[in-house]
Amino acid sequence: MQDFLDFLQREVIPRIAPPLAAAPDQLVYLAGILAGCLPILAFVLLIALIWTYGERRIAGFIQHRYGPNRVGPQGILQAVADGIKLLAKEDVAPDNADRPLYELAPLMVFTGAFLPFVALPFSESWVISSMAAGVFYILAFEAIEVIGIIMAGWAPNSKWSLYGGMRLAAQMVAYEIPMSLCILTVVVLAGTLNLGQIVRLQGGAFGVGNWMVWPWVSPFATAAFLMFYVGGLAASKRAPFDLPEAESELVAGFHTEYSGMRFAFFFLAEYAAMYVVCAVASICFLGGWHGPGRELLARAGGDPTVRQLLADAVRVRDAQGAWLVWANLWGALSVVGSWVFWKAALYQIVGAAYLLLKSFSLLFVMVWVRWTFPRIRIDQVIYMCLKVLLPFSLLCVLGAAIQTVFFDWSLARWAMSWMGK
Amino acid sequence: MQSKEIYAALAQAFPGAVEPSPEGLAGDPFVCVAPGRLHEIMAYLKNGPDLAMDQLTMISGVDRGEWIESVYHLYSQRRHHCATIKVKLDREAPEADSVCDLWGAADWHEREAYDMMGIRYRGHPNLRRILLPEDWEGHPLRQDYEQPQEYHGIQNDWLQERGATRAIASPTLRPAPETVPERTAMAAEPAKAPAELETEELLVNMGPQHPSTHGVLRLVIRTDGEYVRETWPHIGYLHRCFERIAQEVTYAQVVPYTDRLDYLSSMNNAQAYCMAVERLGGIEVPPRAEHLRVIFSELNRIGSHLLAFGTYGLDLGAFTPFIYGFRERELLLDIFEKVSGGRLLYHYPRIGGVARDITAEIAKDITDFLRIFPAKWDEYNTLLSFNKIFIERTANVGVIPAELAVRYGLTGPCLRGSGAPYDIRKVHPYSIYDQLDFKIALGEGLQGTLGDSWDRYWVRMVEMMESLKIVQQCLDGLPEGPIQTKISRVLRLPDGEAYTRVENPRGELGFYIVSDKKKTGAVRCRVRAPSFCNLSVTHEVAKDCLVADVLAIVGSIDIVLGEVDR
Repeated sequence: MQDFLDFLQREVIPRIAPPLAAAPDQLVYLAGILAGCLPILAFVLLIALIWTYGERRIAGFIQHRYGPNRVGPQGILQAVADGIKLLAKEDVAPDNADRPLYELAPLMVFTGAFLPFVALPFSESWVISSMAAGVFYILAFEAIEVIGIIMAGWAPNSKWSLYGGMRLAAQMVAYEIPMSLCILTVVVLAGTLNLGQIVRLQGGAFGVGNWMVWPWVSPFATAAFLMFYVGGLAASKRAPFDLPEAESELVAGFHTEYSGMRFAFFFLAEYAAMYVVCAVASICFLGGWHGPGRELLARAGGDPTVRQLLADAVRVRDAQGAWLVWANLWGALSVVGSWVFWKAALYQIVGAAYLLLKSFSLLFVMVWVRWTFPRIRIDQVIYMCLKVLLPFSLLCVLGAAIQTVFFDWSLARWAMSWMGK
Repeated sequence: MQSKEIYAALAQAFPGAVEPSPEGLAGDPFVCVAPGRLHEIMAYLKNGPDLAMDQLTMISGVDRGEWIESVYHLYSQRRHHCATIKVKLDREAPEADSVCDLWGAADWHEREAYDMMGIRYRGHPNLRRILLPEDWEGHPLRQDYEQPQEYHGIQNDWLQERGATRAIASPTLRPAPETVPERTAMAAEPAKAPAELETEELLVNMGPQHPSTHGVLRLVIRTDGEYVRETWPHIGYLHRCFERIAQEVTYAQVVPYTDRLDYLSSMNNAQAYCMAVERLGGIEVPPRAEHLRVIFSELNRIGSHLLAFGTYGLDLGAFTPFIYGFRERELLLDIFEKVSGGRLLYHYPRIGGVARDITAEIAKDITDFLRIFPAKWDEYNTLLSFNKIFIERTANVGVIPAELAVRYGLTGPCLRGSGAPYDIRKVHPYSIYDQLDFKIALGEGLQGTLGDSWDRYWVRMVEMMESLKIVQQCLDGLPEGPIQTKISRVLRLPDGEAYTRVENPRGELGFYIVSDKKKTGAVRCRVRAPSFCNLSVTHEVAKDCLVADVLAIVGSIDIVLGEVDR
């Protein structure tokens, strides 16, 4: 995103709006960030809409019943109807609540769930900020949610909320460690913290064969993937780790005392966090936007980045004698109408579709698990983290380090080069 | 031993203190003992080697007009015999010795007798009202009880329409804090030296409005973080005065009320009540009606266990088994609806028979159900019973040793889960159970300790399959004939009393009816509710465990609050 903003400021703005070129960098960045947030916000809402509906239909299918099928065709507008209902609901707060904390908590939780999307790629060049330490950033900001939830547990002055908040704090903080270690396994293998780089490494072999998750690439990453997924279930408080909001024990856990839109924020955050976990798993282990057939498009097209597209646009416009306002428009239109643009766009869209497909498959498994298993107990949750996931994820990191030093990041690649010798 | 022999042994051991029941009474014999020697005699009954009355079935207070009786039904799990001991008390100040130290079950039963009849039990550690609020006035099962016109601003319209004049003042006082045991327990804790990290124990109200207390049960839990130190169950939120109503209406009119006791096994309840009346009146039930009663009782047992299975999964966070259980329960409800018109409350067994005969269509529905159910049962086991997480949550949790279970009067799957083979259908066969071939499902500690929550759960699962066998046999051997004995329109029973027990899905359901030949209704109709006794063990089991375990334990006891509170 930053190079894109730089490019806009250096190349594009002086040509189309000269007075703005003098604006300080920070202002341009700020405007860019705000503009970048809108599509993410829309995306988060969309994910939540799709999956609240999807989850209920899948649950219905698993349980031999229909699920919502009345609002709109096949009930697809159910989530919208629910959203409107939540908006219209009275905002009830307990009398003895700590009001500032009580009101801040849902926002804090939502922010925590929202921030990781800044570094989360949606396709090869569709990323708000392709930062060098992207993985680190995502894991760090996912943890902000914990603070919000402790606040939500404490502020309403309800014992059930307090239990939920404390359970979640224990659970999320504990599972951060093995999850980070699992990601570290990939980082050690790939030698980079940048998500784009990690995915680029997994390309080739028809877009399928070089995924980290395959045991012939690295058995440690295979184990790390499974552990990361389990940890992800716990970190996004999904069943069987849904103790913080266990309805049969704690009424509704930390959001017992929330209603209306404040409750909806928790709900949105939950689905956003689920998506982040699944997307990170897809990116780090399942080859991200790689998939069969996508490489053919890459060979046909040019340098498929947004920056390139815009550079093309400027070039086309310049070539047509561009000092008329309408010519700018024409230039942009001519770019959109060009084959190069569509090939490049298709390349990104296919990548985004592959990534979404993988993430949604993992999300589907989360839903499937939720409607199949009972809930585990708090001591079992902590036992599982500290005595099972933690040692094994440490072993994975160690194994990955040994593999990288003595062989190659991919065992298959090493074997082939060894045979080649 | 027969009860007569027990009474003879007692008369021999305590000459002069034991008075046998007068001749010419219908139903069960009993003995009256001298109030002063009650505790001594009870201890002898419990500890005497030949007697070994290790289980207290129930304590009932009976108002006989001139005096008040405290009636003890005792049972021996070791020798499978029973006895009825009575003690006559002064009407003005009824006082008896408490037997809490002998049987844990006496705790709640004595509190109920105090609540309903005003009998004071000397030596009871915590003699408070149990079903009614602390500040209620009067003891509702006494013959001379008058209803208050108002309670905390709630007007008694029924009384006012009838022009009642006597105003009982509206209570305004709440119970003094010291009488609530939870608070005293907290206050009695020695003040700890301030540690570096100061922690506090919390008293948490789980219920009466809580998703997992199966109705309006209130559990007060003392928690230390995630650990539960103590649990006190509070009941009475669903008290509907069944026993008082049964005193006010005729014998036949009670039957529909029994449906509402344990509303998940209405067939069993009505059968138990009808059996008590039939025993007192010497009414014969035609064999076809007996078969039909057993068929529907057993189908009802399957339906009830299916619900227990589903809600137990729900308590442990598995939602799907609940829906699966309801899917098959729906088939059963359809059958019940066809035969009785009701889906929950059937009013099907009647005094002297059953309400309607089954048609070919209903018989086919039942056969279809018997055919498809075993496959579904396997599905439940795959989904829940042998799920690793489920086993981890329930095995070794809430272990009730057989000795504790007997002491607290547990029956049904809760007792059999602990390995005690007490199934009334086998031990004291009623109706046609002696002609049927089935096994008693017993806990074996398959996944952990004997008597843990998983065992109780598994007993219910196995019982469903046994019930299936019973229904099949009854259907095969269904005799032709009438379904109802002719009984007089206004039924009067001879003087006497009878206690009948049946195996309801939750345990021993008993009806203790005291009749008077001058009346068309019972003098006293006492229910021995299995859930009530089973629940009383909670505070012994649900302690020093985790919060989530409390729900696993209460869920595995499988209570129905309609029956606990009556």
